[in-house]
Amino acid sequence: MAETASVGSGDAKRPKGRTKTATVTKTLTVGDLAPDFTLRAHDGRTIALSALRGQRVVLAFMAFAFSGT
Amino acid sequence: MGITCDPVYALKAWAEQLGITSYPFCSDFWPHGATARLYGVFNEEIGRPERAIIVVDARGIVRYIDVHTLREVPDEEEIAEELQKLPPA
Repeated sequence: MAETASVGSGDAKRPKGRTKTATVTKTLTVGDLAPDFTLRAHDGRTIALSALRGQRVVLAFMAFAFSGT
Repeated sequence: MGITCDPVYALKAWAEQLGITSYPFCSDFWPHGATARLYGVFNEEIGRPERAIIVVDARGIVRYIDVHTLREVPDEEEIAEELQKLPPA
């Protein structure tokens, strides 16, 4: 699996770029209401998206911690 | 905020290693990938999110979607450009 091959490579070795595989997802398109969620954060907080209304929010989904992906 | 399907303990260690203090890493561990699935970016075959950037405006509307190749790190300048297009509140 490509995943296995990349273990340990880390973001430092990956080039920066703007290559998108999609600009919609299986459930969302630009203009949709962002679905609400509540998650626990690394610093012990519990964060609900709905509590961040009034702020712009960047959600960065990443593959695995420590993987560089 | 960063979101992965790792447990919060792994994210704490990762954030410490990277020295992240300005934004949270959030755990979508259980129910596994529920938030990633809600956003349509959960990879059911591998059990992890796709690498994806989603920008939400102050009213809670999705304004930008970038499902990104794993071969690259998304360009943060592009994300900053997208944010600048949005009113701050």
